Order: sequence, then C-alpha cells, then structure tokens
Amino acid sequence: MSFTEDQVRRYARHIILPGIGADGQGKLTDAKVLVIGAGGLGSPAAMYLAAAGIGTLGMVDFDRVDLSNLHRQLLHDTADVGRPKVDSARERLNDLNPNVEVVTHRELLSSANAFEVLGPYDVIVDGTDNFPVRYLVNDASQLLGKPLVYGSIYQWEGQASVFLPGPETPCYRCLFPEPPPPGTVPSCAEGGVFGVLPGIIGSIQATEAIKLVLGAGEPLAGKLVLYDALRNEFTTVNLRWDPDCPVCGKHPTVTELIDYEAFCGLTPGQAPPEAERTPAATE
Amino acid sequence: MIELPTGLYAEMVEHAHAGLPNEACGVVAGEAGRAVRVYRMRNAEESPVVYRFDEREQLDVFNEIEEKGWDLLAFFHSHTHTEAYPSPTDRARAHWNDPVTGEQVAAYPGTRYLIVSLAENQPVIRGFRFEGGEPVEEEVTVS
Amino acid sequence: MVQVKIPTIMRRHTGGEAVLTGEGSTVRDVLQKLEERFPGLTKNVVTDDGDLHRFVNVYVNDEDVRYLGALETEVKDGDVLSILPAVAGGSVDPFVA
Repeated sequence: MSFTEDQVRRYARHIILPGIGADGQGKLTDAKVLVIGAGGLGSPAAMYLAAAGIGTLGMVDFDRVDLSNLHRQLLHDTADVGRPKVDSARERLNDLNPNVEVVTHRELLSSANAFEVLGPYDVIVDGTDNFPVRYLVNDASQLLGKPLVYGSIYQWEGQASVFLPGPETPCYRCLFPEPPPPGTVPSCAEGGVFGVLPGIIGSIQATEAIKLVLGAGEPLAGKLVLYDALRNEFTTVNLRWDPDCPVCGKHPTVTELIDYEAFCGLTPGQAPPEAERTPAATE
Repeated sequence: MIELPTGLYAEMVEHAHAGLPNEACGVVAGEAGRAVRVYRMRNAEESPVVYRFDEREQLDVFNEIEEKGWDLLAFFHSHTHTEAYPSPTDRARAHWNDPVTGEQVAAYPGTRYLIVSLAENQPVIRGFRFEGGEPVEEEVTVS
Repeated sequence: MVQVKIPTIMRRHTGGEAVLTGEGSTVRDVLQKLEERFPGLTKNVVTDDGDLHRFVNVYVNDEDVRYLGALETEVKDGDVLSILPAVAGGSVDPFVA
C-alpha cells in the first residue's frame, strides 16, 4: 500500500498509532462502509469515517435538509436547507477528505433494493429513523454476511451495539424480537431529541466500524451500550444470542427480504412524494 | 390496590438486589386478594435487560400455588436501571392475540404486574394491570 | 388417553373446562385433535409454521417439551400435558431514531 505525501501527512496520527500503523491505514483505504441515514447518527459517523480515510463511503438518504435538522445533523449547514441530504453530505465529506469516494444513494430502502444497495460494502452502519427499515437492514446484513453497527437515540438516551452475521452472536431481532406497538415510541419530531446525543452515539458507531475494518480491539458484539446523557452515564450490558431467532438462529426462517411495515403495525406505503416527507424523517 | 406485607416486600427487594446485574423475577401468591407468599425465581434469560421465568420452575410454582388454594396475585420483576413502568416489551409479553377476534388479551387475566426499579438510590415498586393492552396503575401499599 | 391442563386464558375456547381429555401419539397429535374439537384453542400454542410458539410452554408430566422432542414428543396413556403462557418481559426498549 503506498500513500501519497498528502495522505501520509493527513493520516500521520493514525499511522504512528499502535493498533493502526501503515497496515491499518491501508485496510481503511481498502474498506467500503455504508452509512444508512445522513442525519443525526449518520453525520458524526460519516465524518469520522471520512476523516479516517475509509476508501469508499456510501450514504443512503432519501430526504432533503430541513432547518430543524441543523440542531444536530452537523453534516449539513444553513445554506444546505432544501438540498438532498446525500448531496450536502458528499460535499462536506469530500471537503474534509478528498481521498474518500463518497457514493450517494438517494433512495428509500426496501426489500426490492436492500441487497443491491448493501451488497458492495464491507460494514453497514445503521442510522435510520424507522423500525421497518431497521428490521430490513438487519435481515439484509445477516443474509449478506455483513457486520451491522447499530445505534439509536431517544430524547436523552442512546444505545449502540454491533451485530455480527451468523449464529452464536445476537442480531437486532435477538434483542428486539418484536417492534413496539405503533404509537408507543415517538419520533424525534414528536418527542424531541437532545442535539448532542447522536454526536456521541454516532461517534461510537464510527469507532466500532473502524475497529471492525482494522480488526482492532473488541467489537461491541454481544454487548449493548446504554448511554444516559442527563447523568453522563454509560452502562454496558451483555446480550444473548437467541437460538430461536428467525434471522440468525439455529434454524432461521427468514431467507429472503420482506418489508416490515405490517410487522410493525403500519400500513405499507409507496415511497412518499418529497413534499410530504416529514422534516426530521431520517437520522 | 395491591397490599404487600412488609416482610414480603422486603423479600422482593432483596431478590432484586441479589439478582444484580441481571433482572430478577418471581411470583406473589395471594389469598383473598392479600399477598401471602413470595416465590423468588430464576431469571432464565440471565440478562440485565430481559427476564423470563424458568419453564420448569414456573410449572412447579404454579402447581404449588394451585395445590395450596392460592391465586397468582402478581408477577414481579426488577428494572435494573430504568423506571418502574411497563416497557413495550413488558406489555407485549403480557398479552396474547385472541385467535378469534385478533385483539390483544392479557395472558394472565387478573394477575398484576409489579415492577421494582433499582434505578434510584431507593428501590421503587409500582403495580399495574393491563386493560385493552394498556397498563393501568394500581396503588401498592406496604404494611 | 391423556389429560391436558388448560390455562385460564385458553378456557374461553373450551367452554370453561380447565382439564380436557386428549388423544394422540405425540404432543402435536394431541394438540391437533384438540384444535379440531375446539377451533382456535391451539392458535397461540402452535404457530402457522407448525412450530411451538416461542412464548408458550408445554409440559409432559412436568417436563418442558423443549427438552424432550418438542412437538414430536411422544405421549402415552395416563400422561398429563400442561400448557402455560410464558412469563417474560424486559426493560430496554428499542429507540426508533
């Protein structure tokens, strides 16, 4: 792996870091990471991944930047309001690091395209804002054999974990076999969210994605980090793999992708026209 | 309203602490609406975020309660770091789908759910029944 | 002939009966025949895919069938089957965003 002088200077602090080195930097350059959602979680995750020199960074987001995003979605700025988030993201990420190939996916994920979108990447980072897509991405990652870096936030609390493909380690479905009844978990638009919070959880997601690429440290596989911003308290709990999990258990029954709207108690819908998308629809 | 003799309440709280870092669980047997015995049970999930009665122990405890002519007054479990309120998981697990009407019905109608929270410095206990899938709080008095 | 103990929540399908007499060579057999007599009775015990429902416990003579042959567990005359909804819950809930 040979670096340009710019790259050597840019990544110097990682190249001299025990645990990364030139070899590690080479791995980062060869890696392809997909960030689903260019919002609250996706912003810090993508920025740190780009800064670290991930060679190919995919961004999935159908939405446009809304003013209400700016209290937490640092990928975008005031001049970007109204623009597609993936475009604003690509510009910011390339300004930060021109060496990164930012691939934009301005689409809604569904059973029809999830394999195609996720397929080319090595690691998936989940920053979505709705349960059907979270279950879909979990299925797709497991079926494709790709590690999934999970992060989620609510008001002042956050969660993070890593779901490795295959049996023996838990996946999203092991942790949450069923979605909560519709209407019981408010969205950010409904319940509010502490702006800094996704900055913390998304940074943890970037950390785990980079560790996976490097093969460094211990991934958060089989563990769930719970963060309470009001007490600034981190709790790590063990997660157990469910041998009966329909996705990653001993006898999986999910062998192809489905759309989870009905599973989550929602009416399945077509991709909504842009004008009707709610403002803070993607994290 | 759920009446708990002080000694039984103390047993539940002790069981919750003893179970740390995992959730603890058990059954409160009742007679004529008053709690008479606490069964401290094993959390088969061995997890700080979920609990499940050990299947074999559940049968033994339920059989004993039946033999003694008692009722399943309440199921109790602890929340190690969240509030003493039914989570969506608590709610989901307390219900079944009625095969005929398709609606959610309580799996154990008449049995209350007691939650002991260890999130604060002092333990907090609250009690609920479920109506129409929603938790309805009932006063818990320790005397 | 086996005895089948029905939990409270399922007695609405048996006309209030708490203990039924059942027939069959396996647990699945017994449940299937009961379903024919009392439609809807076993919908929450055996899933549409023919598996034991995740949150229901079935016992043969006090042994959880998950440790025996699951629904294929053989039963013989005089055995007692018990059905109990699992008791479970949790405290960590998913966040949507």
